Amino acid sequence: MYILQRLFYTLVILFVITSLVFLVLQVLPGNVAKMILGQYATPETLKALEEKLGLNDPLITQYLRWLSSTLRGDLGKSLVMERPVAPILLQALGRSAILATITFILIAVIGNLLGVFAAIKQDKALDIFLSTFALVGISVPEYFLGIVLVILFSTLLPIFPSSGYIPFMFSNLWQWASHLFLPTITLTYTLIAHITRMSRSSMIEVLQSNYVKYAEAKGLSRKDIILKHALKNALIPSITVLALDFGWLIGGIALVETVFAYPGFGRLLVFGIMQRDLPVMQACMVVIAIVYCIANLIADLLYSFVDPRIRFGKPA
Amino acid sequence: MISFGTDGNVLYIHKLAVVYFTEKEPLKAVDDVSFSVGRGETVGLVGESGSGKSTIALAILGLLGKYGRVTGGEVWFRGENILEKTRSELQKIRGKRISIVFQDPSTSLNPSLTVGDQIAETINTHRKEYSKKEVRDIVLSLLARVEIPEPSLVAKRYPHQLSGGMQQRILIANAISTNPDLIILDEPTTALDVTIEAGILDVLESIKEEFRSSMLFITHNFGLVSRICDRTVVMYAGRKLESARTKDLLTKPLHPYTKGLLACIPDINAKNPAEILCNIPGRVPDLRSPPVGCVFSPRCECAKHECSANRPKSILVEWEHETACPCFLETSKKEGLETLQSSLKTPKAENTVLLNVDNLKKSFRHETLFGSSKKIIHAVDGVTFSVMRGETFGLVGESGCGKSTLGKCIVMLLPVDGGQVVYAGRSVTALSEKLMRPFRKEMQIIFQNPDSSLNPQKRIHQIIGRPLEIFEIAEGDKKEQRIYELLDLVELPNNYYSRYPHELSGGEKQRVGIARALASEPKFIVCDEPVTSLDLSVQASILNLLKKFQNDLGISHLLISHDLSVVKHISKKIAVMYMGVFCEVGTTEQIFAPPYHPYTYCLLSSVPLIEKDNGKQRARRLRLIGVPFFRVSGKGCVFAARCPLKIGQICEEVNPPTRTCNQGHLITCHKTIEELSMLERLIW
Amino acid sequence: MTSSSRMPGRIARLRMKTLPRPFLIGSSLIVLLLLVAVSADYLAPYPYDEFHFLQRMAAPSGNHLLGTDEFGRDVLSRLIFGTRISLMMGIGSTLLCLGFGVPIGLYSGFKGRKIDEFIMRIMDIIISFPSLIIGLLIMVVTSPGTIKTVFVVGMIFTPHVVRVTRAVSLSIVKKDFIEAARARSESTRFMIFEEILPNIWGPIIVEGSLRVTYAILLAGSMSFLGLGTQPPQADWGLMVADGRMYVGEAPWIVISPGMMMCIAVIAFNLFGDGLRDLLDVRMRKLG
Repeated sequence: MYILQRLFYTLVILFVITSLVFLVLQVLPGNVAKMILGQYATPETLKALEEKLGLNDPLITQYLRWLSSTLRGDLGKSLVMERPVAPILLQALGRSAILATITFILIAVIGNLLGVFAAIKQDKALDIFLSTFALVGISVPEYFLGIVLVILFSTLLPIFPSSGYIPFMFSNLWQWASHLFLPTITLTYTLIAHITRMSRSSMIEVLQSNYVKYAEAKGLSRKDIILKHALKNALIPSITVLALDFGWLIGGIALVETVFAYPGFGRLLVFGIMQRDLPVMQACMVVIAIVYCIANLIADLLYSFVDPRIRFGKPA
Repeated sequence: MISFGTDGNVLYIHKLAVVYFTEKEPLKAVDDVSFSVGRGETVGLVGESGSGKSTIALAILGLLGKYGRVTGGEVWFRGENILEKTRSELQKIRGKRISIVFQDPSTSLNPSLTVGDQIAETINTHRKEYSKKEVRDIVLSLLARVEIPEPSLVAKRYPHQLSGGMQQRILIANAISTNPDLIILDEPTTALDVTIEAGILDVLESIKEEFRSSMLFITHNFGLVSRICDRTVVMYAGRKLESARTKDLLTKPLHPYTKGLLACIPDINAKNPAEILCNIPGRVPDLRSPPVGCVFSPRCECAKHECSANRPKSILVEWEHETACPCFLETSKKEGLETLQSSLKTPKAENTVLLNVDNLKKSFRHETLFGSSKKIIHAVDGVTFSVMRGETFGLVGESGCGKSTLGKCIVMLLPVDGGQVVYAGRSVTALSEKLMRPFRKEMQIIFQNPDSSLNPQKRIHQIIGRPLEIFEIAEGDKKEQRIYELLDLVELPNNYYSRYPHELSGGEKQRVGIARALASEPKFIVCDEPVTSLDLSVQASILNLLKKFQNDLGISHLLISHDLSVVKHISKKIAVMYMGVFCEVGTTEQIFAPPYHPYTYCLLSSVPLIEKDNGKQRARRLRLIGVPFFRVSGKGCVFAARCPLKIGQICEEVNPPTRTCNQGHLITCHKTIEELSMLERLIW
Repeated sequence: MTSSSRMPGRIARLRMKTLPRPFLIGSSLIVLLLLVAVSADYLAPYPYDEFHFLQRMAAPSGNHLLGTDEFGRDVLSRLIFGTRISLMMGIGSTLLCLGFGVPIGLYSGFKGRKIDEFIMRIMDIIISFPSLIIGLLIMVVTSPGTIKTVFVVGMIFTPHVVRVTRAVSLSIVKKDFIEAARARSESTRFMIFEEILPNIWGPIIVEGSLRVTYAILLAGSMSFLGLGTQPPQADWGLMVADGRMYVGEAPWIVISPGMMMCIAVIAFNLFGDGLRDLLDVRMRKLG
């Protein structure tokens, strides 16, 4: 019952966001046609282009037209690149997905582990080191970090390529991986820093709780207390952070891919925005909306599943 | 080096001193405390808040945390000084040879593990030889041993799905799972209702008989001590003041503090409730800079010059009866009682009705954006009564019965779902906020928790002065003068005018709350558990204050409490409430004498009395059946599911009639008055 | 009780050495940065847009302590002016989101029930959406600029402030002295301003200081992508973007603004964290 409710809610949000996106972009002041024609815009050419693009039809018609073609998979044609958007988008998504997945796994595992370790050794050397590490991580802009890494590992010590991407092929495994290395590290560092801080404070709070004190009074070893009592409760809040992570991840991907000229979704989005390429922007936003809703839904369901207080309410 | 292995003492604490190192100055939580617990003996550790009793428990187990340190003394357990043990050695003792039950079971249990798993864990940690199935069986038998119904179902539940009483039984099951030598219980029933508390005490007594383990029972309730402790140690501000066999301590207390404390407790068996309670003036000393001599001397009535100069030594007066005060040969404070009594004015006899509550109803339903839940909680389900001018009406019930809700509805802090509240002839139930204003001036409220009832950012004079402003009673100089008058009225010194709440003690904060309520010159005050959060010695002074206002100023009170002795002490009329309904209403004498409503009888028989002779109590206890739960259907008697005197189906299906016995004594029950009159008289 | 009449409303006169070191470092850095920002006109050796074509991409030297960029502009001067702009964007947008977010959060926490749930759901949606994307979208639709960036960033972070304010308000609203105020027929205005607000200043200031860090970073990112501050203004993010191409030959063009941004953000982080710890200790002592 709860699941259905969340699903419905998600779909509604998805619908609202995509509609908003469409509206916002379609009613750009300084209209679309003018942007495309640029210096060649004269009243006649403008009018002709507007007719061609169907920009003079009532808003509803434009909206429905866009909605139906999107649902069919036709995401329009890029104004700048003069190619259908859908295949470009798919390819870019795939490449970003690799980046995102690796990053996500790394931050989920390493971030939480580091935070937990820092909490266990609170105020000792390890904690101070990790906390400083995390502090720098949340303070450094991703694009700057990327550039610094490029200077260090591409220019000064030519280990990794500074940009670009090579398709995945077994023969070229190292090459392929080396293109991923720097972007992944950049993205990972800043996000790990956030997770580490959160899981550290969550773990500290758990370690000071009454049930941990009681477990100690029962004679459990420190190791057992941490593994059986503390960890589970400390990591439950991390799950809600997963949805927030997604927001950071997208922003980070956009910046990192721009710095490394990695031909992924983020770079496509930035490109679309800079060039005012309407179909590209709209398509990218739809993708973001979908992924965002799915991420939230998963986080919601996971949370309700893992926390027994929500899963099993009080019996009547 | 003395070994204590052979003389029968399980635990021997010798000159223990514990200091907490927080902030700038260290805090002496425990100072030179010595006592022992023999084999199979239950020792009570009694004291008010800040006395250091919980600290001793933590020190025994080595759980003082990073700010606490033992700075002196030894703790001998079965012949070894456990303070010198390493962490891994301690682990073998904790939970296995010494187990502990903490005060708040809801936070002691891990919310994401089932209770069965948590008990199994204790067994698995210390007895690795059992198989999984054997452990499971042991857990189930333990749950049955602590009288938990349907053990196999309960074992699979999570802590939040169980009531407080059940959770505490889980902790007890944990504690006995390894058959330890010593069980420490730190205020195990403080957070529980009195009927549930009685059940837990029953379990503890049966465990004591069967397992013969020693127990260290920490509490501030002398009634419990009387019931279960063989010997008792009295602590104050980190020091031990007196220790004796419980019977001796209660009948012949030697230390002025013990005497004072015992005199403070409103005696439910007192024949003439018009007495003023004795109280101990002053405050608990700041443990960062405790007094040089006897720690109690600043507050002691018979303090002499040497008391504040030198630390008194512990004197063994009789068999096992020690006291840390040399003046035990002097006379007691009987004189004090008389002077207090004469300051009481005789109450004005008035017979006009001030407040009328008619069939009041209030329910709660969980509402969200997506619609309301089906579960409705009838917090107040048709309540009718009246309060006269200058009278205190006591409202008694356990947690969740709706008494606080009722109180708040009467002062219009909660909207009402049915029925009426009529104040001085005018209905106040459905008034708009603007029309309500003059009534708000007349009807005020005092809250339970002194920490939460005062705004920490405001000074005392702002808190007390605000009602004067908003009700336009006084301004400028007159306002200032009135504030000082109010401070006098609640017996607070003048220099508290500019202080902030955090500089005051709990009792003092409660007085400020009272002053604030009095500032608007009300005729009716709802007192919502006004003394529940306070120490014993402070409770008495607040109760005296309330009585003074009732008599001197003619203010009517609605005194809400779960403590029958408190209610009996001040109230003229009492109502016993259960799940939103009045079971019984009558004058104080009528309520405490038969005929009783079955619930009233259960309540009264569960109250742990300070008895000089235990046998009588045990015989006439009547227990509630089953466990607390939310009432589902709207018909039948609310108490039916838990009534030990249930007649039959009729109780569950038909609403019970309200019968009148004597003038004004109403009982809502299917049983007849004759049957209920036959119940044994419990209180005298 | 021994008592210093410590006033919980004011900053207690704590001796300097009892304050934790990170907090002191953070606070002093902030003061330093503010001074630089305010006195930029006097402090900077050159105007931020003055070209020195003969010394383009010159390495750091006596004349130009941090070198020059691709147009020959003095990097140090641009850095100093950049301090003013970036701090203004960071602090300005934070003040904006506090100004809108605190009242909404207060209202939501005070009213409770359905209104609260409704408001929070909307806030939650905005919070979990990528802020950079929202920012870019809005800037694309309108024309970008420094002042506009301040507004946009302020709007984007308002829901975060609402969430924090609401959480703190809820914990205060539950307390009995609020009930006592209602029992006196106090107006909503009195309750919010006199009873609740004085109790939530602490956490709000902490949230504000941490918000500044996010604001500086977001504004910087937007400028980096060209949708924030526009050239020829000197903004740290913009400087990094401009200097990116010349990273091989003249890395100081990029390193200087990047480091400055890190330092500024670290400063506010240390300050906010330190303040939070101090408040926690004070809460524990009072409560």
